[in-house]
Amino acid sequence: MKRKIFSPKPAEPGADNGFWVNMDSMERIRAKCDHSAKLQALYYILNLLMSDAQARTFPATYAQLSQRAGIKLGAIKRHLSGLEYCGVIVTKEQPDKESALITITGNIKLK
Amino acid sequence: MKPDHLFHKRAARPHSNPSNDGQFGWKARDAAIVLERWFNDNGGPKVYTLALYTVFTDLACEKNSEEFIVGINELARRTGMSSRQVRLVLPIFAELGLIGWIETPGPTPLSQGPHRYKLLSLSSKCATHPLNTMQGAYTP
Repeated sequence: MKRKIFSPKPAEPGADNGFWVNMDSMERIRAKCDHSAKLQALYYILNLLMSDAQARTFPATYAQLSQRAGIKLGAIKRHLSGLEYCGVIVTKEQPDKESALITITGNIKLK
Repeated sequence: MKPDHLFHKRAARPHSNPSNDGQFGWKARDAAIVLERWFNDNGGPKVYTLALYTVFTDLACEKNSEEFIVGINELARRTGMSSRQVRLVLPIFAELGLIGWIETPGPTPLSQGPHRYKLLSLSSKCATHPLNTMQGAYTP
C-alpha cells in the first residue's frame, strides 16, 4: 500500500526537528573526490545519526548505513574508508564485523 | 631571548568539548523522513537524491535564503553527478514538495539558463562564525 506523502513542517534552525552539518567538512569531501555523490549522501546520514545519538562517537551497523543512505551493503566499507581518507570521520570496526564505531571529526554542533 | 608569546603552545581542544566555530548548515529532519519513506515505497536513486538535497541545503545556507539561482552544471559539479543524473532526480523533489523551481530559457531552444530554486517547507539558515563567513562567496 502506498503511504501518503506529508509535507515537512518548516524546521527553524536550532529546533528539535533538524540537525547541523559542518559545511567545511562537506566542502572537503567535494574537494578531495571528483565523484563524491555517495560520500556526501553517506556523510549526511552519519550526521543525522550523530544528532540522534547526541554524541560525536556512535555505533552503526553496515546494514543500517546501507539502507539509510541507499548504498549497496558490499560498498559501505569502501565508502566509509573514502570518508576517512577525506579526514571527516574515523571508524573502528567492531568484533562482530557487521558494525563500526564511527567518530565524526572536526567541529560539530549537536544542539 | 625570544618574547614570551612565542613560547606559547596552542593547546589541543579536549575531544569532549568540541568547538561550535565554523559554518554549519541546518538540515530538516522531516525532509530526511520524507525522502526515506518515498524511496522505501518506490525505490530509485536514493543516494543521488540525498546528495543533491545536501547540495541544495548547502546553497541555501551559503545564500542565507531559501531561494537561490544556480545552473544544472553547477549542481552536477557540486554533487559529483552528471547533468543527466541531476535532471533525472529533480522531478522527485517536485513530487515530494521539497524543492520548487522556475526554469529560465537559454539563448537557444536546446540550452537552458540557471534556474531559480526554492526550498519549500524548510528553513535552511546557517550558523556562521563571524570571522568565517562565506556570504557572497558563491556566484552562479
